[in-house]
Amino acid sequence: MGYEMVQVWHPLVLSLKTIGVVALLLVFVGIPLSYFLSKEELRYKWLLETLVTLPLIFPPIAIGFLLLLLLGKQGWIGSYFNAMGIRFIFEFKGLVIAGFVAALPLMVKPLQSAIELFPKAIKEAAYMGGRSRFYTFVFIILPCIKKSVVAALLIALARALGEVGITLMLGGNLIGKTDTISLAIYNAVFDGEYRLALLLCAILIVISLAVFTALHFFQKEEQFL
Amino acid sequence: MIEIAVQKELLGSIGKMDLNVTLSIESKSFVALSGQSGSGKTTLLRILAGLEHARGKIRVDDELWLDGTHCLPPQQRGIGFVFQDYALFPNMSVLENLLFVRKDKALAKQLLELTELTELANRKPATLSGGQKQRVSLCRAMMNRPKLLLMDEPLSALDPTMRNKLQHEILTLHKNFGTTTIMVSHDPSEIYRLSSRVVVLSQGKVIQDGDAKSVLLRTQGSQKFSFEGELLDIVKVDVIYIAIIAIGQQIVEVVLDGSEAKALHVGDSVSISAKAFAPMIQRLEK
Repeated sequence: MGYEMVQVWHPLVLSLKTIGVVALLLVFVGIPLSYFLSKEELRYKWLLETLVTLPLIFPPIAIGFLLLLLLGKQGWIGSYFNAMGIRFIFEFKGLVIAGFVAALPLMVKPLQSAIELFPKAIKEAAYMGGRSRFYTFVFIILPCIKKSVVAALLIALARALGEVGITLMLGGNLIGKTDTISLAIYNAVFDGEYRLALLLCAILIVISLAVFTALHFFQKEEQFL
Repeated sequence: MIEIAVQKELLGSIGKMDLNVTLSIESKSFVALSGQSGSGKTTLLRILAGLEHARGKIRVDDELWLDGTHCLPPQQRGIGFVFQDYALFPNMSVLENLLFVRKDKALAKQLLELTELTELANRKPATLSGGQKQRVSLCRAMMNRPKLLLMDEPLSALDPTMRNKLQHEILTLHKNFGTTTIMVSHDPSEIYRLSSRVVVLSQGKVIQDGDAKSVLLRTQGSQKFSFEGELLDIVKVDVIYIAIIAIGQQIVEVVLDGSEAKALHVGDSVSISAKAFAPMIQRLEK
């Protein structure tokens, strides 16, 4: 064998850690954002929707470059954080941001439409029962659309796992530090280590099959009465 | 006592119209709201519930629900609302649906007993029939002991037998709790059975307001026994014809002669009447 097991484990663990944090961000930022965007009377809704959807349409490598300019040491946002000693570029944080930006539209868009399609009368019944909008969202709407939430989360995480373009720009593909599993395949092929690349692919195939199976279960339609 | 004086511009069945309603409703009364679709009944109900904005004033006892621009949110009005399509919380059992509104197990138990739902307390709404769902919805609306119970065509999706049963239960609940109630309904027999007062809306205005009998009886004054119906079919039997007519929810047969049969067409709207069963005698003034 022309490679060591650490070349397999390190990228795999790094990727799992990244999508683990991305998953938390998607739940705690993505879900509230979907609710916010589903409001009918929202000012500048188009602007926010465009921003969220952009990574779906705009080439990832270009998004990565723009984020690099924005978050770099001298960047518009990055310079503030740099002053506090927080850096994103070539760090684990950069990988998380890359995965999160790529995954966000795939989480928010389906959830937004699931929330918009939720029957108005049921929400109104809760309001007249004295419950606030927030309480109604957490205890009625979310439990009712839980399958959509899990399905959207799975698809979004699959996207984050396969993310290369933005990750390359923000993470820098530093071997042993920011080489996620997808980048590790690229590196292995580049170095002519086809057996390592194949093994990494096999791991991704197993993960993808697991996601497919889970999706099949969760994508069954939800019914409201 | 509920004082209502509201205005709102809305898109009705024939373009823009102004909803402009002034009503005062006695406490503990049962008011039926009737009128053609698009006349503003549902909008009026939603304004009362605080689900839609309007200009004007709504006063319930000594509370102001709407006064110019100040509008009390639905959460603070203490309203019971029964939707035509039930709107139960799908993720909760029957009992949880009730307790979601108020954690009062004794009241929930009493309501479920009154509506014969005790057996179904732990079932999810998706497993219930239409009539059962609407009874749960009715119980849920009663859970916060509302000052005002609003019902938007609560029984129109149900079959006639279930309707009768639920009308009876609505009456029982009304007698037990004495809740001031406003119900939108199209069914004259339902209105007659349940309500003490009928308000008829047309194009956003009140056009009739009175007790059920005086508003509903169309043939008042003429000694005629008359129904309106739809001609479903004409069948020839030997030398006579038989017309089959739908009146309300019943089908009747009426004998016709050849010329009458020719003048009528299937699908016609017809009136069926009988008169002079008993000749009446009155002395004429000289």
